[in-house]
Order: sequence, then C-alpha cells, then structure tokens
Amino acid sequence: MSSEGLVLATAVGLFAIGSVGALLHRHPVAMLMSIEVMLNAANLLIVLGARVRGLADAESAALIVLVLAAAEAVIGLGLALALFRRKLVPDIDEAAEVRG
Amino acid sequence: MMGLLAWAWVFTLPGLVLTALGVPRDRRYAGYASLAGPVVLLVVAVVALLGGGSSSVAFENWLPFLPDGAYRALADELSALMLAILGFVAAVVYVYSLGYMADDPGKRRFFVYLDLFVASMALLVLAGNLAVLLIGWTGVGISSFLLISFWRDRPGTLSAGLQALAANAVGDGALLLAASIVPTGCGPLVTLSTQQCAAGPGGAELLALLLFIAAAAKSAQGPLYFWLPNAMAGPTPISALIHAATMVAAGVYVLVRTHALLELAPQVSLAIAIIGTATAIAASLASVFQANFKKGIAYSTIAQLGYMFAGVGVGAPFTGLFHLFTHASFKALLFLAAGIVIHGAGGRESLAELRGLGRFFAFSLWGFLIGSLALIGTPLVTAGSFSKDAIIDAALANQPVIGWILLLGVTMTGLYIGRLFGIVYLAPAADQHAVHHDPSAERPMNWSIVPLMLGSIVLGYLGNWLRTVLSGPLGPMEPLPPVPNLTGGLAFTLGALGFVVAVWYVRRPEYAAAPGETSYRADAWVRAIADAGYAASASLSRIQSGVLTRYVFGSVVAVAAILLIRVSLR
Amino acid sequence: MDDLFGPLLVGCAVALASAIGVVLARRPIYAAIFLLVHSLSLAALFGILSATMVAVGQVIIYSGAIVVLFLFVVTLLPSGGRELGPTGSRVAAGFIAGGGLVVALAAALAASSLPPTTSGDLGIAAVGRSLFSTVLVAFELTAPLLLVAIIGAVVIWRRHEPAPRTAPVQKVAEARRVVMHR
Repeated sequence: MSSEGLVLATAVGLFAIGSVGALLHRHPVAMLMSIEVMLNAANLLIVLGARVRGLADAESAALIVLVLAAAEAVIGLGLALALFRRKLVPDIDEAAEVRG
Repeated sequence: MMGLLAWAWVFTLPGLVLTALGVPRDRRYAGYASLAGPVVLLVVAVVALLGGGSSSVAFENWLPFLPDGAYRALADELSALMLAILGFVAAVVYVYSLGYMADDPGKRRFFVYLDLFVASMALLVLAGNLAVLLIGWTGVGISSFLLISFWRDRPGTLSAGLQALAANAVGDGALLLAASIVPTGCGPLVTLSTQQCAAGPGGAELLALLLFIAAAAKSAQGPLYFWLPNAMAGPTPISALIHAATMVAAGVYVLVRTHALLELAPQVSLAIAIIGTATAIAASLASVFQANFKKGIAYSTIAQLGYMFAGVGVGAPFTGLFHLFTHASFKALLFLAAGIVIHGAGGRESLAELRGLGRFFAFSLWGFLIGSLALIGTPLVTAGSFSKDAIIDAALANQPVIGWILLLGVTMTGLYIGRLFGIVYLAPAADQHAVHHDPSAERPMNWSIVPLMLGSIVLGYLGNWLRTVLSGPLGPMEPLPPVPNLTGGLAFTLGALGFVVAVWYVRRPEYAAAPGETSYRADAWVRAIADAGYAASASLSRIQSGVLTRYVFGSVVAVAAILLIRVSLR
Repeated sequence: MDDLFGPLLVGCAVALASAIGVVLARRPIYAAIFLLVHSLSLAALFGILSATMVAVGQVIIYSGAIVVLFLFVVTLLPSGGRELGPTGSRVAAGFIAGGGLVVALAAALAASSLPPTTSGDLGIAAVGRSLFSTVLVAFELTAPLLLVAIIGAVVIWRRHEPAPRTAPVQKVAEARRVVMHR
C-alpha cells in the first residue's frame, strides 16, 4: 500500500467511525464530537489532495474548513447547552419536540 | 447616450442615499431629493431611444461559480424603451406620492424603497445575461415586498408581502435553474437562441419553459396570480408603479427579449398563449365580482398581462410589448385616479363605502374615464385600442381560436371597468361629508396624472415608429393593422357594450357593491381533492419526527446508497 | 512520498484509535480527551504531509480552541457526566449505516485512482499568497461567518432565559423609600 493509499483509507475509516459514533451516542455533546471526527476526516482528505496535487489553494481551503468547524462547534454547543437548560436527561432523542 | 444608458440603474442611487440620510431636513420636503432620479432616467432613455444604436458593458469572471458569470449590461432600443416607460411612470408616481404620502410618518422610508425599486428594475431591464437579470429580478422582488408591507400597523400587509415573496420565489428558482443550465461560454442574453446556448440539458424547450415560469411568477399569470390582488394592501402609488406598469411587465419583457429562443420551442409558445388567454378571461371574470376598488383594478392588470402573454405566445412579441407600453400609461392612470378618491375618503377602499364619491374629484373622474376608454380600446381616441387590436389581429392570424376568445373577452373588460366606473363615479351622489378635500395634497396628485392622461390618448400613435425603431432588437415584424379596422371596431363595440351595460346596472339603487352570501357549496369532488391532498401531506410529514438519530441514520444510508449507485453506473 | 510511510502509519494508527475512543467512550469527558488526542494526531499527519500551515492551524484553532471549548461545556453540564448507554436498536442502526458507508466508500475508492503525486509549494508563504488572491472571497467571508456564529450562540442562549422579574425590584425600592423617610 502506498502512503497516499494509507492516508486515504484512514480518512475513509475515520469518516465511517465518526458516523457510527453519531448514531451510537445519546448525549448531545458526544454526538457533536463524533461529527467533529467526521469533519476532521474530510479535512484530512482535502490536505491529502493538496499534497498530491501540490496546490496551495487546496491547503487554504482546508484552513477555511477549520474556521468553519469552529463556527459550527460554537453553534452546536450553544444548542446543546440550550437543550440542557430544559431537560435533565441527556438523550438527544428526547428533544424531538423542542420549540423556539 | 446609449453608453450612459447602460449605467442607468445608478441614476436613482444618489437620491436613495440622500433621502436615507435625511437630506431635506424639513419633514415636509422629505423625498424631494429622490425626484431627480426618475426624471434623469426618463430624459436619458428618450434621448437614447431617439438616437438608436446599442451599447454593452462587460466585466468577465465576475461570478466564477456560474457557467456564464460575467457582468453584462446591454443598452439597446428595447431597453431604452422599457427605461423610458419606467422613467415616465416613476416620475409621475414620485410626484403623486408627494401628495398621497404627505401625512405619512414613513415618507422617507417610502422614497428610499421607491429608489431601490427603480434601480433594481433598471438593472433588470439592462441585464445582458441571466446572472445580472437574476440580481435585478430579486431586487424588484425585495422592493416589492418592502413596499407592499409598508404599513406595518395595518393587518394583512405583511401577509400580502409574504405572498408576493412566495410567488416570486418560484420565479426566482426557475430563473436560477435557467442560469445554471445555460452552457459555459454562452455569453449574452440575446444569444440564448443560438445553437450553442440552446444545446444545454433539456435543450431550448427547457430553457424556454423555465423562463416562462419565471415570467409567469413575476406577471401573475396562471396559478401564480394569487399575490397580485393581495398586493393591493400597499399604498396606491406603488400599486400603480410596480403592480401595473413596470414590475409585472418584467415578465413580458424577458419573454420579448428572448423571443428568438421561444421561436425554437413552439410548444412552450403555445402554452404561453393558452395560459395567457385563460388568465385573461378568468381574471376579467373575477374582477366583476370584487368588492374592493383596487382589487378590481388589480384583476384587470392580470387580465391585460394575459393579453400580452397571448401576444408573445402566438409569435408576435412586438404586439405584446406595444400593449405593455400603452398599458403602463392607462393602468397607472386608473390606479392613481382611484388613489385620489381613496385618499379623499380617508383610506377606505371598499366599493360599498366609495359609492358615488368619485364625482367630487374632477381630475380623478376624467382620469378614470380616459383610462377606462383606453382599456376597452376606444379607437383613434385612446392608445389601448392600437395595441389591443394588434394582439387580437396577430392571434387571429396565427391561432384563430385564441384570437376569438380574446376578442370576445373584451366584452368582459368593458363590463368590469364599467362597473367600477359606474359605482364610484356615476352612482347617485353620496354624502358629501364622507370625503375631505386636502388641497395641498391633492394638487400634486391631480396634476401628476395629467401626463398619464395625455399618454393614454397619444401613445398609441407611436406604434409604427416603435416598430421601426425596435426592428434592431426584435428583428423583422409583422406590420401593425391599419387603423381603423374591422376587428378593432368589433372589439370596441363589444367593450363599449359591456361598459354601458355595467354602468346602467350599477346605477340602480338596489345594487349592492359587495357580493352577498352565495348559496354555492363546494362540490363533493372539490372537497375530495382537498382531502386527498391533505392526507398525502399528512402522511409525508410523519417523516419529520424530530428524532435526530433517525435523521442521521437516513443521511448516512442515503450517502452510501448514492455512492454505490454512482459507482455501479460508471 | 513513500519514505514517509513509517511516520504516516504511526499517525494514522493513533488517529484511528482515538476516533474509536471518541465513539466508544462512556462519559463525555473521556470522549473529549480522546478528541483532543485525535486532533493532535491529525495535526501531526498534516505536518508529515508537509502542509505546515494547516498543521499549525489544527493545533491552535482545533485542539487549542474547539476541543477546549468542548471540554468546558462538558464540565459545565449539569448531567453529572454519566451517559446512558446505546440501546440495541441504536447499535444495530450504527452497524448498518456504518457498514453500508464503509462498503460504499471502499467501492468508490476501488473504482477511482489517485493521480501521481506532484510536488508543489505548500509552505506558509504559498498559502498566504493563495488566501489573498484565489481564495480571497471565501477567506473574507469567514469573518462574517464567525460573527454570525457568535451572535447566533448568544441569541440561542438568551432565548431560554427566565423572564425578568419586576415585582421584587419594586418591593425593594418601596422598602428603601420607607427607610429613607424615617
């Protein structure tokens, strides 16, 4: 297996692991963390692409994805905390009828 | 001058900035800074139209994510004509609004929105490719929403504005789709009919269909008509400017601009003609039963736009454009004349309350009369006859059935406008104290509609000259029918008949302007269709369970499925 | 790039192991620690792939800010840190979806091929140059994006604030007035 193939397989594996985690976890914050793993896997793929193609543009795209992850984490955690204000049971499925 | 005209959408922006910053400090003169914009637009457009020629502006690579993402503006005779119409009606409406909105606390905001509208409409007309057209298109949609829901303290205005946005969204979506399927390197809007451009997915038919849907949404045709009568919740000056003369005409303009593409898609053209005619008849019928003065006129606008669409659909785009030209004048006149009465009656708009009050406003009465005569197509005297004749003649030549339907529909035109005129202006005089005259407000209103009155009489004679001038953008056209002619005379007779019958009918004292309770119960099959739709949507809505895990599961499985399908199809 | 195989293998192993840790951790706090290890291992991978700017960004932005944010939130949660275990249906769903995704991705990978590696300048200067020319619009748009995220977070939080109480304040004012008049 070549190095590129290794990294490619790792990125794919990380993505699948993250998606399984998003389905397994019931705690909202843990679910968010699994989604972050998926995001990182995609970012790894972008960086691999940058390395293979030798493009600095792709690397800056990866940097922007990082910023996006930050924004998404902020909002996601805000939502999770807002959920916790109402329910004490940390189960994401209990929040099926949230208003406002 | 064409080169200057290509930047015409900038003309109202200084006025916008000044008015927004509150430049005439005195509240009584708020909005005066915006007056220059439409006047300059009108002057430049007329000079450019007389001069002829064309000019285009292009900045390449402006929107790199669209196939044709350049900024292109095209100023030719067609855009000059549209801008002249826009400038003319806008200038009249601005002066009129100085009177109509004189006591309104939101006057400054009103003029800012008006400036925004004129700028967006100018950009739409000057658009050289679909990307820029889309910007102007959304711009007029937004300003229309802002102006419809202008009075925030009145119930129903926001809902009316949202309905306009909803219909607009359908049109925007169609136009966006069209902008994205046009192949790369296609270039300007005018080349949409070329082999290269029409070769995208779906071909010329799909592109024409999408443009038709967008035009229908903007011009309230077919099932997308619903927003226009409700848009009457906005102030009367904008009903005149936006929902009679200019924005709703944008749909017709786009179809005329891309008429070469429509020639490549004859089935879409036929659909345009059929839907235009059906809308014209249905709206005319609906107007007869309206209890609200402005809504009656609004349905008339929808009907006349149907005539224009029919003209374009039967392969005579110039007739549709010509009718747009004359219609802008007399429909704005009808609205503004109505506005004088409404303003004098303290904002009341229902026909039952306005009965007979029109006779106290001389300018309004004469304006509405001239507008009505133009609408039914009084030959030689009014402009509407020239353009409506042209459409009916073209329809009779190419699609006779449609031509006859349009011809007979003029009866209903006379009927509904006669009803409106009769109730408000000719009915037995009501209580004089129901109206209040405010001379300082009425002076700009009364005198601003005089140019429209003249326009409604005179503009029809420009038909042949326009035909020559527009031969550049529109190509060779059929000659206009000579005046007077048989179909014109027949149409006028039918219209006048309807008019007289309606006036006689409503002058009887026992006529109630508001339709009473009807004994019509929705048939069982209508109810069944409604129930079926409801059941279908209720069952589908169970997918939205709110359980996040199910959504994630669905997404992941869907992604995997799509990947597998894509891989296996390779 | 094959001379980097060794370091890459180590980095990938740590990344995969810590990701599995995130997924299987029983308490959110453990998952957060695993996430920290995961992001640092990714930073190492980026560094090995000679994308230095993104590697540094990963350490500073991701590990240093985002994961720390996660840690803060987890410690502030009132749930006591215990998480309920996954139910049987969830495990089944996880395996089906995850398995399906792995199969699909593997099929997609097998059907495609990577182009040969061309060397290019991935240094910080090159990234800077591209950020300010080709990717300029996206780069500038990240600023309003972050602003909207901040405002959004504040709005989401404030919507659930209890209604302001006015009565007790009035009582306090009255009591104070009575005291002053005496």
